[in-house]
Amino acid sequence: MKCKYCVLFITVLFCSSQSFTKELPTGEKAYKDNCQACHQLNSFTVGPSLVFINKNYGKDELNLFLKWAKNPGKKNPNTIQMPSMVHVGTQGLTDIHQYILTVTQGIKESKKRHNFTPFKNPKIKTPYVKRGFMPFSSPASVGVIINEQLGINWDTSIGRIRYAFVGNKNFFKGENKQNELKPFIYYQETTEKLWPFTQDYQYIGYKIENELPEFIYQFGNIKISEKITQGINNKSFIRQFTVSGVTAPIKLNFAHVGKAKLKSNKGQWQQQTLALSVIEAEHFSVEVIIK
Amino acid sequence: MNYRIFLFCCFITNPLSSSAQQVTNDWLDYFSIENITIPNTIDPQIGGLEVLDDGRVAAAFHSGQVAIYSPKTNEWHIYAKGLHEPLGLLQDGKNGLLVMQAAELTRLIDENKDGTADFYQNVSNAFGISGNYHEFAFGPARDQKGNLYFSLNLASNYAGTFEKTRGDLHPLCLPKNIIGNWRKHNWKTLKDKVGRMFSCVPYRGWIMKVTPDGKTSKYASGVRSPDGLVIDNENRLWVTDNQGDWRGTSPMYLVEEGDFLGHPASLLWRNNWQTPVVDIPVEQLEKIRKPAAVLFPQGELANSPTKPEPTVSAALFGLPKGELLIGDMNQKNLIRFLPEKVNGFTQGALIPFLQTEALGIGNHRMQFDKEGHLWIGKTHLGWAGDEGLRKITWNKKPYLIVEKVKLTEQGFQISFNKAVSSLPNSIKITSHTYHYHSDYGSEKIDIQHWSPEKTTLDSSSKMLTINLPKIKEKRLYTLSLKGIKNKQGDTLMGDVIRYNVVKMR
Repeated sequence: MKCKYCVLFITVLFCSSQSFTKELPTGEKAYKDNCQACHQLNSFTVGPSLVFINKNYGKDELNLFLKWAKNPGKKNPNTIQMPSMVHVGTQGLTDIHQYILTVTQGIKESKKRHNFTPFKNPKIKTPYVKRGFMPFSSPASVGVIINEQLGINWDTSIGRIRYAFVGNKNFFKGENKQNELKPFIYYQETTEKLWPFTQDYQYIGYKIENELPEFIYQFGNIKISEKITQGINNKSFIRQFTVSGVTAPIKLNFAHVGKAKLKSNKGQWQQQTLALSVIEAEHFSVEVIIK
Repeated sequence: MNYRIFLFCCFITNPLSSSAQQVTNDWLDYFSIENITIPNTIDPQIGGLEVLDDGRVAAAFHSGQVAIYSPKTNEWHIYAKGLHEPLGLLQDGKNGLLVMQAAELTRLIDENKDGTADFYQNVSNAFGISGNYHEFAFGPARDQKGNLYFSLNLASNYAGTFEKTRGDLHPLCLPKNIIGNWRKHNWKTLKDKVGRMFSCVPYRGWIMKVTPDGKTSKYASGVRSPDGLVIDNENRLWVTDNQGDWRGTSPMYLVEEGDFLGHPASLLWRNNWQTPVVDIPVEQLEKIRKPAAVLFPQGELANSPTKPEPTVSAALFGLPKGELLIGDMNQKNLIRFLPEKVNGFTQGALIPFLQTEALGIGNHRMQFDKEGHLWIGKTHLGWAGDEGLRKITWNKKPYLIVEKVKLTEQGFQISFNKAVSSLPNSIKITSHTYHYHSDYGSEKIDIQHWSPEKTTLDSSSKMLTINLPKIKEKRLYTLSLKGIKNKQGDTLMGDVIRYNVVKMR
């Protein structure tokens, strides 16, 4: 088209539409509204960077990009599942794809992995009590880390200790690779029920004194408190029991696996069962010494 | 020659656009956002926040502590430790602090009055927890009779359960040897049998109630990821939920006893329920589900709304009392909810608030103190978000807002807190809806554009009436009003109104 004023005309139009308004191009706005929270320009944050996405879904791969965005699979086990972006619509997603192609030109992936410096939990001074997901236990468990050598799992779902383990091993990753933690379990009490009571079990809570717990629970009207402290050495622990409401002699079942010596200050041992009279049952303690 | 003209043109001011380019107010003209430093021994992701009666601010952190901040001395003090994913805090009079952990609603009591909790008392653990990574627990909220409410997230089928769960698996779930041992099976092919989000132990997907004498019961079902639970000043219980399967976009519900709020997974725990979740016909669910009071359009207003906070008196923060202020994890704004009752149903308008870069995202827990400062606790966990504690202060400079939105028989009546200088430059009105289906999320469907038949300002210049050719129920209306200023020239702060019409006049 030969027109000596055309450049002037087109230029004025260009200036007025682009230079003086705050409107973002469609793809950029849609990216900011929908994607920016998890996908940054050139570093992996919650999801891969735009540089990465451009590499995998380039100019000729719009259809693959749309397919993924509408129904994301899972390629990276180390991050969260991407939710579907179907609500953005095909045109919106196409605009975003176009934006990605444009904005990543000449940009390289940065080495920085996270937006936040991943928080490093400081080493906690022992003893300490910590609730969390623990292996070989219900999800309602309490870890009692008595010292670097000795930790205890107490399961509030059943009201008892399940096992003792190496104190400085991380036993708070739930069932994740739990079999790798088996060698670090010294001692395991194997019966579901320690106490002979048939009344309903109710977990009351725990008190903390000097960073160690006293678990409180009951079976019907029988109230029990179980205070846990370190025993004679770093690999032994004492449970001090206070029981009220017992009206007949009782037997506690300390059946276990693992090399340990069990001592009590009251009652009679019959193999791994501790028999107590009514008076003895009011206050007694049991020590487990891991060999 | 042409080249020089080209360069010249790019530097001239286009006279048309300069009149449209007027000075507009910024949110930071009215509010300051202060960051409160948190000790570096604490993971600054905040799950729970409570302003105590004495003005100190208690926060529950992802690393398991509850710490209390003294604004007067700028000091933090650890009150409790070792908690498991605490996602809510509530002061319990002089008795202590209630905290919602993953497996227990706990009362933290300082019996010996040394300033730290020494009794971690179980208030309620009468619900199942399977060990699935997605089973968060939220709350508590307290009503005027002292009842407490908490909510239970569903499990996600990207994983199974622990071998040892608390609460037996429902018979309609997969058997224990499969779901409890999921890593050893071909879980990818089995997971569809439980549904995208599932409820295999009691009462995932329910809102639970605890009476003052400690009895726990099921209150309402049908939630998915009910992060925000609050009782407002009218003693109404509200819950926000998250876009996902069966949630086209994020909703908020007014919760009443016996409600079913839309996600079918929790129905297993209704008395005598016989149908596997994946076999329930959608028509049956449509008949029993309660509509959401509001819907937050994904990507625009909120992607993961968090805990609502009732507004305080206008003299303290500039917003009318009686609204709810809601946070979001993904958008750099808060959201105001202006409730009204239409034909017995409480619905209303959503309006963006404090929409500014300086706010950031990840706004998880919020609370006003007695002076009208708004404290915000942020988090991200494995999703998008932020961290830390912020304090928002109004500088008492009056700002122009929509104060009330009323649905009329013909459209909307919008009231401003100050007289406005003129009708808006432009009014864009659309309405749309969403699918209700098991798919994850929904695009906007059936988008309709509307031109007002009539737009008038009343004699006080404070009420704008917009009449439409038609108002339809069960549609989300978006009204975008541009160019409104008051007589002093202040711009309207929050000029897009989203009103979910559940009932009509």
